[in-house]
Parts: sequence; C-alpha cells; structure tokens
Amino acid sequence: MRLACHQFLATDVEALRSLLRLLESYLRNRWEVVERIDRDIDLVLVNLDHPAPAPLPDGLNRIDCAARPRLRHRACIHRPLRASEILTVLNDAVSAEARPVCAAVSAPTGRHRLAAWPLQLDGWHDDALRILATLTSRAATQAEIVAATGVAPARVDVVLSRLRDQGLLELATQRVPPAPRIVHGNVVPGRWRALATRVGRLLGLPA
Amino acid sequence: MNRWPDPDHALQALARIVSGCEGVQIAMLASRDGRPFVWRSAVAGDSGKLAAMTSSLTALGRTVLRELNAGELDHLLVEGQDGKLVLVGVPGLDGLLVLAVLAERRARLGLVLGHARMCVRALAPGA
Amino acid sequence: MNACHKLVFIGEPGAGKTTCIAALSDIAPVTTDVGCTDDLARRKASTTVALDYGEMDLGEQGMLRLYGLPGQERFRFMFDVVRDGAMGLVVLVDAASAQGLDGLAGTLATYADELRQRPFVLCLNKHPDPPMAFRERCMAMLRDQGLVAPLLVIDARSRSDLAQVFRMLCLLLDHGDYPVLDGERGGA
Repeated sequence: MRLACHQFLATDVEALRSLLRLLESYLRNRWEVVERIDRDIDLVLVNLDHPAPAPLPDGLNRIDCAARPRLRHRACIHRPLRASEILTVLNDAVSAEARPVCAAVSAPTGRHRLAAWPLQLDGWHDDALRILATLTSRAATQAEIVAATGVAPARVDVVLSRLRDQGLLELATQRVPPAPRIVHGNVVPGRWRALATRVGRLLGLPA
Repeated sequence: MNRWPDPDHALQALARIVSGCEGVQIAMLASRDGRPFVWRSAVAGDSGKLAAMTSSLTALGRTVLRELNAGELDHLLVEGQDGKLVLVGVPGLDGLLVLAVLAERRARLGLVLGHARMCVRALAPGA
Repeated sequence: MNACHKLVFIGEPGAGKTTCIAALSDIAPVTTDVGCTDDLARRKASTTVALDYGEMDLGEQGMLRLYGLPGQERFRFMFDVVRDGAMGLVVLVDAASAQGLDGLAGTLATYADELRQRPFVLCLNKHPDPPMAFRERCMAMLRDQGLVAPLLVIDARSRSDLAQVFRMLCLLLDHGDYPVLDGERGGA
C-alpha cells in the first residue's frame, strides 16, 4: 500500500518511515511512503499547518494532520505523527478498501485476465509484481494466483482490486482452462530469480 | 558519398550473367544495408528477402574474417543440394553494392564465379 | 556443462540494441554494422544488418549470450537464426524520437507472433521520463496486438537499468507459463 505526505517536512516523513518499521507487525498491510501523489495513491496525509496550502486532486483518500487537531475537525490527527493514530488510520484504510474488494474481485471461480501492466511501477511491491508476472501469460483465479505467487489471498485481492480500478484487469468471459505450468527443463522453481540476482550483482546492483 | 551505378547499365550487366551463364537463375545487386537495387531473374523470387539476406551474409562474412584476422572478404559461396549462391562485392564503391548470383545445382561453380567477377568489374567506377 | 542463456534485443533502428549489448558484454561486441543508404542515414550513420553479439560470463551459472537483431522488417529472418533457446526478448523503443511509436508499431507487426510465445519487456530508451501519453500509446499498441508486458524506462547505457530489465524478465519466467517449444531451451 502506498502512503504519501502532502506538505510535510522531510524530517516528519522520515519519522513516519521509522514509525512504519516499528508498527510493521501490527499493520494489516505493508505500507510504503512514496513521494509522488497520483490518483492511485492509497492514502495521503495532509499537513494542515502548512503556511501555503497547496490543493490536492479530488477523490483521494486523505487524512488531515495538525499540531492542534481538536481545533480542526474530529478526523484530524496529531502532527508530529503518533504511533497509535497512524496504526488506526492505516488499518482502517485497509478495512475500508478490502470490503468491496472481497465482494467484487474474489469470486472464487472468476478468472482474471491482465489487459496491460501499469504505466509506472513505482509503488508496486514485489508481491504485486509477482502477481502481475503470473497474469502476464495466462488468466488465473485468485486461488491460482495465490498458489503461483505465495502471496496471501487478502493481499492478492487488494492488488487485483487496484488493477481493476485502473482498468487493467478483466474477468475472463469464457471459461479458460488454466495453461499448463511449464517447468523449464530439470530446474528448480525460482532459479530465474537466482539468475537475476547473479546478473544484478555483476551489473552493480546491491544484493 | 555513395556513387550508385547507372541502373540501366547495371541491368545490362546482370542480363549478361543470366543469359550468358548456364544455370544462373537470379542475379541481383543489393545495397549493403539490404535493399534491392536492380534485379534480373529467370525464375520467380522475393527480391527484398534475397537482398536482406545478401546483406546479412556479407556482413557476417566480413565479421568472421575480421574476428579471425583473415583479411578482406573476397566472395561468399553458399552451396546446397539444389543450388548455389555466390556473393561478390562491387569494387571501388566502399562496399555499397553486393552482387548475388543464384544458380542451379548443375551450374559450374567456376563459371558462375567468373561471370560474377566480370559483372562487378564492369560496374566498378571507371570501368 | 554450464547453462547457456540467450537474450535477444529487438526494436527499430536506433532504439538502442547495440548500446545495450555494448553495456552488458564482457567481450568487445561482435557487430555487423554497415553504412545506411536510405532515409535512415539522416538519423544514424550505420545500422546492424545481421546481428550484434556479446557475452556475459555468469560463473557457475553459465553464460548469458546477447543478440541484437536488425530493426528493419526485411531482416526478420535473422530471428529464426537466433530464436532457439531464447529465454526472452527486450523490445526497445526510442522514446525521444517522433518516430519511436512508428518504430514500435513496426516491431510489433513483425514480431507479434514470437512475442506471444516468450516473455518480453518493453523498454523506453533515450528519454529520462517519457510523457504519460507516450507510455499509454505504447501500451495501447501492445493491447491492440493482444500482448501483455511490463514497461520500463531505461537508459540503455546504464548497467543497473539493464539489470532491472533482466530482473523483470526473470520474474516473468519464474511466474509465467510460456509455450516454449521443445528443443528451444538451449541447454538452459
């Protein structure tokens, strides 16, 4: 899940990143603080104390923050950010998003077909990329995606929902038999990842 | 600066190979980057594809010779059960044009190569 | 015997195939460049007419062989020369040129059938941040051909960018199903 900070100091953003690390085991989803605010952002924290407020695009899921939140409105939270409030708003954000997802996307027999990859891959986590890679060559049910990627069903649903919201996912209209899983020779699963790691190291990427 | 030969003159030279050398089916001049320049044929064929393959083969031949320190390319011969292909560059044009001659199996290689050499000499600047 | 992996670069002339191989290869790339004799000469002096070739020694994990193919449709037959054992393709687009989209259209028209059978990554080169409209048009072209692939913005000179491309290709291979033909695994 992608979280952005609107008109915060860099030190506040760093503090938020530290908080997320501390709260990792308590959060229902993994959150990442990103710089860019686009239509696909999952949540935006807005600093109401900024002396020159800049407008945000409509329709974003936002949480207002202020040094004196009680002077603002009931949903406003403290700035500097507090762990308990961050935990609540992030988990609530997931719950709100997950409810329609479960109804709309997770039809157990529905087979999802990827129409296109996102135009930008910033903010798509590794597990989302695995799901995209799985759907690149075949339509698959949620259960098949879970089996192919090892990603938790709830997380698969969130990614599928996000793809569908962007118009990148279709439900296969015909009954499409699953493509046979081709094992590349007598090799172990994940060996391409090992190869990519090797090449990455040779080309100067950190391990 | 590319110095393309006169097309009519080139066509005449190709016609001499096709009519004068027994078993020759196709004679073509291809640009070094794989486009047909002029073409004479006794049989149907795809001039565009032959031109591209002529260019690739010639470039590969030159590359192989360069990697092996074996000097400049003189000619290429590709011989199969039912035919043979001879490729010779036109001298003096900085590799601009390559002559491709496709001949039947019965055609004698020495004669095909000899006609091909005569043809490219006739097309060289100042000939 | 160590495995041999084969990676093929395709794309319009000038999209960056030769540059990719030069950036990756441990050896001096083997090239088959000749001077252009057509309109292409206005954009670049020379063009590949057979293939570019390079190698990366992966140690115990074998060898990565790199092939760059000519961009013009008339050289399509060269793909048949190098296709066996290809683990995937990198499709390059010159994102800084007005002709980039035309070039991609030509590449897709020529190679769509091959691209349906193998994993590939679409790489926009020569522009640090191509406009969204350009990216959308590229994706629309893929969709029109019934193709699905990730799109990455790269600098073909950057080894780390190319590592990301390779990583993406490996991700597709690890999680995808591709009708790789028998005998096409090239010792992999």
